[in-house]
Amino acid sequence: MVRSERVLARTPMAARAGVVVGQRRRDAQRACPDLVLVPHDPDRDARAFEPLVRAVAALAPLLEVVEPGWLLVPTRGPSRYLGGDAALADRLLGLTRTVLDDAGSTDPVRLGVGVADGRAAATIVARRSVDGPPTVIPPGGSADALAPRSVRWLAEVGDAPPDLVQVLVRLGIRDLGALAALPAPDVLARFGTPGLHAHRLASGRDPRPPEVTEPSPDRCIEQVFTEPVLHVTPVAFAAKHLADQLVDTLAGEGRVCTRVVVVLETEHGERSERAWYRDAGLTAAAMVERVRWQLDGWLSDGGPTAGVVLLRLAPTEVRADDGEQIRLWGGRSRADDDAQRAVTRLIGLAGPDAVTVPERVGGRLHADRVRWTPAATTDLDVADRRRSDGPWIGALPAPSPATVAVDPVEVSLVDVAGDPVLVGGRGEISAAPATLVIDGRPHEVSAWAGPWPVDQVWWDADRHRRLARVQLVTTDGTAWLVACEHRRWWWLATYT
Amino acid sequence: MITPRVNELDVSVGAPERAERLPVLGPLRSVLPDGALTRGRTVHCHGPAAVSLAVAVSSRAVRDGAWLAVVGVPTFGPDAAAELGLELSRTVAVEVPPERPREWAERVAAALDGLDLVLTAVPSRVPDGLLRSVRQRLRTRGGVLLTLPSTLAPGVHGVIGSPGASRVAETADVRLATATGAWRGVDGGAGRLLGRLVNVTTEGRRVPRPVRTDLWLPGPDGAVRTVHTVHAPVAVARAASA
Repeated sequence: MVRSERVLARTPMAARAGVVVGQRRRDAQRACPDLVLVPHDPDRDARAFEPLVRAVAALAPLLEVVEPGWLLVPTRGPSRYLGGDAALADRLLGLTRTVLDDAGSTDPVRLGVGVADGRAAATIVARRSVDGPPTVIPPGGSADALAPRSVRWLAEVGDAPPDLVQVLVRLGIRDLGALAALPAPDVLARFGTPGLHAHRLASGRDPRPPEVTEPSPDRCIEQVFTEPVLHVTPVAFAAKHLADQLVDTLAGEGRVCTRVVVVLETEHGERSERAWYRDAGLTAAAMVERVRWQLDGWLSDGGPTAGVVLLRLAPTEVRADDGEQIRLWGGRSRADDDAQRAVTRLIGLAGPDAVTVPERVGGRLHADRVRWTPAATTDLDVADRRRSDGPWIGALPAPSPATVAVDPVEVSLVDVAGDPVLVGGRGEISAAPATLVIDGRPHEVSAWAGPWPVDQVWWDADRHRRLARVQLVTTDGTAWLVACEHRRWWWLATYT
Repeated sequence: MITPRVNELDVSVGAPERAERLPVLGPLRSVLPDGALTRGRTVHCHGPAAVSLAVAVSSRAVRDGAWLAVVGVPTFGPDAAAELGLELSRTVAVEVPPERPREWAERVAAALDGLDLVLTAVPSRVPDGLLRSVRQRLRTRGGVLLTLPSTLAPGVHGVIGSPGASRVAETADVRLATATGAWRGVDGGAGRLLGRLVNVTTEGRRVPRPVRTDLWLPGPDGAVRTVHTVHAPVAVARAASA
C-alpha cells in the first residue's frame, strides 16, 4: 500500500522480497518487480470493514472503532454471556472469518484477536496474535505480558509522540517493563503528561486517565438536514462545522475528546450509531474522517434506504489536554517546561554529551567539585543535585575562580632571579614568585598566597597526585590559581 | 563554600511574569540602564571580571525562576557561579566545537527558544548574517543575551581583539567593561584571596552617557555589594594602574 510515493504497508511475502515500510515506491518496485501497488484509501478500507463491524456489534453493541481494521470491544457483558474471555475471543475470530468469506474477498486479510486489561494492552496483544489463535491475558496479568515488549509500541498503539520514544530508547529504556519500573512521579516530572500516559500504558493499567468525565448531554451537537441528503460529501461538510464547534468548545475548557459517538439517521428512521475512540484525542479533522467512514460503510453495506436527515456528534469521553500547565506551589512552571523543551532540542542538535547540568560532588581540586553531567539522564526538576557533599579537607575556601581549566596549561613561574620557583615536600616554597609566564607572555606578580599542598589518593600509586596550589595577583589586576606538580607549574584557573 | 543566600520561604512560584524586564540584584541596578535587564537586548561583558559580572547580573532572574544556558564557555566555573548566587538547578551548559560559528549560532538560537538567559563566548569570526539572525531570534523570543569575549583563558582557541569579537562588542546594546580595583586578602605569601573591588563602566547603544560603578565582586562575605558597605579595611593587594 502506497501513500505519497512511500510504502505504508506490505504483505509478508513482499517483506521477504525486500519491501520495507517507508521505502520509496520505485525502490520497492526494484526489489520486487511483481509487486502489486495499491493506493492508500481509508474510505475503501472503511467500506470493507463495515460488515465486520456490524457483525460484531450484534454480539457486543458497545464496541468502539479506532480506525478501519482496528476494533475494540469491552468484554464484561459479552464474556459473561458467552462464558468467558476465551470463548468471546474465539467467537470473534470465527465471526470475522465468516464475514470475510461471505464478502468473497480474495485479498489476504490478517487477523489478530487479543484480550487484556485496557485498550492499548489488548491492541498490543492482538497485533502479536495476528495469524495465530487469540491470546487471552487474565485480568491483572497485563503488566507482565507487556513487560518484554518494545517501547516502540507506545507510538504504534498509544499515540505517544515519536520524540518521547526516541528519548526513552536513547536512555536505554527499551522495553515497556523498564518504563513501568520507573517511579511514576519521576516519569511525570521528566517527560510530562505524555510520559505519564505512556507509563500507565506500560504498567498494564487502562490508559484511560482519571480525569475522564462524562460530559453533560447538552454537549451533543447535531445537524438536522431539511432536505434528506443522499451523498457523503454534504454530510461531511456539515460534520466539519459540527466538529470544529465541538473541538473549540472543549479546547476552551482545556480538554480534548477521546471518544465520540456518531449518530446518523435517515428519513425512514434507520439509524447508524458508532463509537469512535482515539487515545491521543480526536481533532476536528479526525472526527470528520470518521463520520465519512461510518456513512461510507453504511451506504456500501446497503443499510439506509433513504437520505440522511440527522447527524449527531456526542462526546462521551474527554480528558484534560496535554498542554495544560500545572501550577502548583513549588511545581513545574511554564519556564521549566519551555526550558525542558529547549534542552531536548539542544540535545538533538549537539548530542547528549554536549548538554550538561551541574551536579555537586566532593573534590579538592576545582575541576572535581562540581561535575557536569548530561542533561539527558538527569531529572531537571530536582533542585539539589548532589552526590556526597562532605567537607573536603584541603579544598580552597571561597571565592572560587570563575574560569576553570578544562585541561591544565603548563606555565612557568620564576622568582626575582629568574630561577624556577619550587615547592618542597613539606610544602615550603623556594622563593617568592615574581613572574608568571603564560602563553609565552610574562606577567609581573604583585601579590601571592600559598602554597596549599594537596596529597590526593596517596594510597593508589596510579592515581596518586601531589601538588601545591598558589594564588597569584599580577600587576594587571588578574588573579590566577596555579599549581606545582612534578616540579612543573600548571595554570588551573583564573578568578575572572 | 558559601551557601547561596536564598530565602527558603521566598514565594518564587512559576516563571517571572513576561514583563519587559528581568530584575537584577540591588547593587547592580546602577550598572544597567533602566536598572534591570531588558528583554531582547544584548549585554557584552569584558575585562578581568567579565564572567563574575555576567553571572551576578543573571543571578536574581534565575533565582526568580528563569533559566540560564551557558553556551560555548567550556571554562565556566560553577562553584564561583553558585557563590555569586546563581541557582545551579536552572543552569544548563551547552558545548560548541571551537570556532564553529554556524554551530554556535544554531545552539544559541535553540537556547533562546526556551530559556530566558543565554551566556556565551562569541567565536572570534562570526559572519554578520549569522549575528543578525541570532539577534533577530533574541528579539522575537524576548530573551537576554550576555556575551563574553572569545578568549577567556590561556590556550583556549581564539584571538584576543579579533574582528568578530569586537563587532559583537560594538553592536551590543549594553557594554560592561570591568577593571580590577584591588584584591583583598593576600600579601607576601600570607592570607588568601578574600574579595575584589571592581570598577564597571557601562556604555553602549542604549546608554546615553557612560556610567561608572564600584562594586565588591565578590565581597569578603561572598556577596556582591556596593562599595559603600565596605567594612574596616584590611591589607589590600593593590593593582598598579594598567
